[in-house]
Amino acid sequence: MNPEDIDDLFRQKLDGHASPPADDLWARLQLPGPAAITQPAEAEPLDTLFRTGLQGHATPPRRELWERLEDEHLRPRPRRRRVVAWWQYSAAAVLLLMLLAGGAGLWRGTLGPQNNGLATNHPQTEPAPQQRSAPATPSLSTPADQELAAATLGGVAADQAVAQTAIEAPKKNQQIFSGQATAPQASTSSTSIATTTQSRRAAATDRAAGSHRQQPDAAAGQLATTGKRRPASQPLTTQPIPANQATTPATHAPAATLAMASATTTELEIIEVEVRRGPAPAALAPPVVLAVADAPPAPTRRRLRLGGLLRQADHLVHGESVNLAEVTSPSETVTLHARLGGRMLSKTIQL
Amino acid sequence: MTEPDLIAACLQGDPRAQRQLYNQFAGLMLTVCRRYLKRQEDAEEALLLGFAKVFRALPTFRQEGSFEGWMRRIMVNEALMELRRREPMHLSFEDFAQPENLASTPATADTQLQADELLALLQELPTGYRTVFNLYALEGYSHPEIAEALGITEGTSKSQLSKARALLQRRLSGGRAAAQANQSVYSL
Repeated sequence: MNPEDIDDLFRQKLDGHASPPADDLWARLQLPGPAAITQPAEAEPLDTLFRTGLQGHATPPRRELWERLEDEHLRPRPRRRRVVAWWQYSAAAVLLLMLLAGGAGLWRGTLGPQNNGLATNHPQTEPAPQQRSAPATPSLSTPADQELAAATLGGVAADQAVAQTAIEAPKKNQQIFSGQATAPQASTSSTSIATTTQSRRAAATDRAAGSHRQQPDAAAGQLATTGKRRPASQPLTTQPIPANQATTPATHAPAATLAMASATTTELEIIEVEVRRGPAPAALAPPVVLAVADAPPAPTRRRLRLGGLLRQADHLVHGESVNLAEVTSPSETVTLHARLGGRMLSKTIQL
Repeated sequence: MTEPDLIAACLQGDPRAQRQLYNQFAGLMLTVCRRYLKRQEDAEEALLLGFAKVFRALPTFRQEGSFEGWMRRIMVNEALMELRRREPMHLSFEDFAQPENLASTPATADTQLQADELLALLQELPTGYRTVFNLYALEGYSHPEIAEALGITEGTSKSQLSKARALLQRRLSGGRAAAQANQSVYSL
């Protein structure tokens, strides 16, 4: 079929054919078209249809929605935080600061002496033993409590604590002792704080050679003092000097002395430093005398001790029992004597 | 308990009164939310947020006027906010496709459709159409009010409404398959 014939076909069939419009077409043309939107909503049947169908309709909510509403909005869970925790953390922080301060103090002490009115000790010539004192002391700086001395830790450690508290207490004068902890005695596990430095000294008299004052072991359980002067003729060595027994006072807080001496490299003078616990005795016992233990002074009024407080804080952090009674105690004093040649310097500090 | 007493008890934080208020109105309000939000979970979220706001704002309700109307306004507001979060409307409300002159019979009152069907029809609409239709036809807002609420022009509001009506009309007249075929044209 050629195209012209198709045209003819259509024209024949459809010309004159009428498609009567639907009856409602006119009605629909009357309705507002999409462009006419100014009509009020009520006139619009579609709107009405939806409105009547949905206006009063209720969809029952699921049961858990109310619970969600309560939990999330109406009555949210109270934030129960451990109010107690904060001050434990602050106590731990204080402890840490004390440790750092003590460590810094020690570190500075081992590097160079500090002169606070006492004889100073110069750095040691033997570094190896010197290292021992450094690690030994930080562990003891934690219990800054003097009462540790009375505990089972032993006299030597206590003395070290005594020395350390003198060193690390930030408010106290810093007395730096470059001490060398020598090898512990075979009989005891405690380390002795004998310090020896100078291997030679010139103007050696009977006062020469650092006298080593060591503490007896923990067997006595108390601080004991001892002092034994080495014979002048003997060269200084780093041998530990056997601890001498000292008479231990019957009281609970015996005075203890710890003497650490070191010699300077440049000066050939021996400087002895003696740390005595308790106030300076009226009559200063000469070093050769044994048992310079002193009874503690009459207990003064109890006062709050920082060391005791820290110790209890340490207990708290570690979950051990806390004893507030231990926080206060009679005043503790530490006396340091230093002998410079023929002179004697002393300093008493109160802890 | 009368409504004022119930409200007073809720103001005092009485949990049982709150529960009762919720039970009384939650169904209605959930339908309101379902009109606006396609997904059931979004509607439920809007319901909870709306009720939370109702309880929070309860002290500001002046005892004049309809409490249900006050609550409904809060719920619609919350539904709009949820829409903004879940079904962002095309910023350009003007789309290019013009609605065809559809040969469809106008819906009459005889056409009794179940509420669920109506809701389904609404939820099939594109978000913009649905929102404007809801606000105008069912909430009774004017075009200037709708324009301000949605951040559109009045002209856009009007055209969205007419397009919504046209689409609904087509669906109602049974041309569901055809409507879905053209869905892509109107989808935003």
